[in-house]
Amino acid sequence: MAWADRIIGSLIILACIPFWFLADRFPELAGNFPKTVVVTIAGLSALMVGRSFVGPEIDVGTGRLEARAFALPLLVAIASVLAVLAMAFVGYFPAMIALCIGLFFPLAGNRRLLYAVAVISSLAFIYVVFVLLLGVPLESSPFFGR
Amino acid sequence: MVELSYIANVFTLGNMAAILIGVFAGIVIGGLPGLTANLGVALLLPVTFSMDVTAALLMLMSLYTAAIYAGSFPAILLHTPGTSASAATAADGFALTQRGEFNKALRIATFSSVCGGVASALSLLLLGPPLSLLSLKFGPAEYLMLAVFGLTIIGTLASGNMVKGLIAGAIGLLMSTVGLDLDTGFPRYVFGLSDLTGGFNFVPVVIGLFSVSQALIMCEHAQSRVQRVEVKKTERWRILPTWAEIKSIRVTIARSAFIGVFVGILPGAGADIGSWVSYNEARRFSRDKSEFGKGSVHGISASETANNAVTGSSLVPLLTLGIPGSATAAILLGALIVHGLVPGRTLFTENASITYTVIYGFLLANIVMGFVGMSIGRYMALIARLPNAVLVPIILMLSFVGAYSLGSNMFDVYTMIGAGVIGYLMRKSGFSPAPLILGLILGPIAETGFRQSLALSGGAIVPFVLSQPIALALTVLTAVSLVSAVLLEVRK
Repeated sequence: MAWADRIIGSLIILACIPFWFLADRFPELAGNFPKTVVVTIAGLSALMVGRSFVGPEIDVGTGRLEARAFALPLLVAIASVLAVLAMAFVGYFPAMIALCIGLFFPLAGNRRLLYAVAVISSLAFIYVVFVLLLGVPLESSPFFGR
Repeated sequence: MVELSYIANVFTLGNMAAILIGVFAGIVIGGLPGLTANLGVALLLPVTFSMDVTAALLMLMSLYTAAIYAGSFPAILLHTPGTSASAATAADGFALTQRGEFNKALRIATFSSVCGGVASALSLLLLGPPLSLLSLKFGPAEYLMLAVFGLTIIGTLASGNMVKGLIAGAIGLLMSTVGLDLDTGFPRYVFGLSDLTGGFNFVPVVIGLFSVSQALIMCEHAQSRVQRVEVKKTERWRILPTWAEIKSIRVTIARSAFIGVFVGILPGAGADIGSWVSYNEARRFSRDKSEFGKGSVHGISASETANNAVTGSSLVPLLTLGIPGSATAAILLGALIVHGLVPGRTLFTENASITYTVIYGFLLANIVMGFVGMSIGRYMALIARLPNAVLVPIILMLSFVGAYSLGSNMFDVYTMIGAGVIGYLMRKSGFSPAPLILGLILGPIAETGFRQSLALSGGAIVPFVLSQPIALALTVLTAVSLVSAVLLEVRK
């Protein structure tokens, strides 16, 4: 994945530019440290890009690397983002039930009963621990938490 | 008398309940292949906010040690280590299971883990107070270099890829600058968002980076399930090893406990390194080397003693100097700060009651862990076979509620999900999330040290830092860790 290191390194260096200019607008006392860190990040990223052209690859990332492996994580990530957005309006429990129903077919496979039992018991556990014992306001309400 | 009062504090209802919950949660999490002690501590952290600080720390530390221990269950019963720290146990443990001697393997692993854990708690008790005296000599330059050293250690040795680890650590430092600057009141990198004026909360970032990203990685193998293994059931279930077994492994336990404690104190060397070093030493000292990998009780004992001996001793540099040597220790550092405790001498003086109660409680937790573990050990194979498809929604639901419960604030949930997606991408591309967390935690300490050193030196910060003996020593250690990381990469 040397190509990935090159792309990521270049993107980080590009991202450092606006962060540098923003830090330049801070008062001197508040700007010195961020500027030092931004320069360090850019320098290390340049080193990473340079390293990708030299020698063998080391410590490639976790999990499967073929494109097909990203499909389900991507789907779960999108569903989770939608659930977070829904949570702000309908509350925690309806949003989580919707998330788990949405993930039922892609995730559960032939273990549907186990999946359903695990989800229901987890929700019951969360209700008892967080709502009843810790008093976290998770109950459903419009514009929850705001 | 004072010591007795600390010991008595452990036996309050709240603290005992915290230990039991931590141990039980740790055993379940460590027993599930793919779930780690980091994930467990990150998920349990929000639950501890409303708790008494002593009980909170006891619960988190009990979970930590129990998760490391419980990694041996799936290693022994299913040949699938629950955590990387139990990888060395798998071959010998599973060989015994196939011969129908899984009870023997489990009781040896449990007894060894308890001994290792107790040794680590004693090391914390004996080494913590004298080492904490060193922190009294710390000024701005020392704190700056301490933060740099901590980041270098975890970014190089602990993350596996030096440059990527250091980049992640530096990004964490940059993230720590977000929000109102405490000296000038100037808003930095807030982009007009009022929620960002207080900076990033560390807990949602931890939950996202460790838990949500792990759930996304587990989705790649959603239907994977550990294979069912038929084993012979020939034994009567025993909780404690026989006297003959204890006699046979006592030297291995003593040697491995020493190795584990030593490795744990070295920043950056975690439970898996301790476990393998100890396993190799046990093999080297063994009269019958051929038994290793084929059901050696010495192999199981060496690996399990050492990985639990690392848990407490890895907290020695954390509690005394604020250097977390592992990802779990970095999260525990965050927990200390959230609960208003600062690592260093004050932990052993002003907050001695909390610190010593936690250390004695940790010692007790290691013993409780053994009894709880052996009581539920034979059923752990059932839990370990839960498929990822079932675990993913559970982790997601707990992550959401954990992030929200911090301050009943939706912004924390947005932060958590953003950190989760970023954490997933980081792990896929070989970046470790641990240095980022450490950068976020150590950022304010580093910036304060940087500013004060800059002011005291009149702008010439490097000569100033090098003129302070302890800061100079930390600079040398930083250089050594960088050079050793480069050498390791060259060897690979």
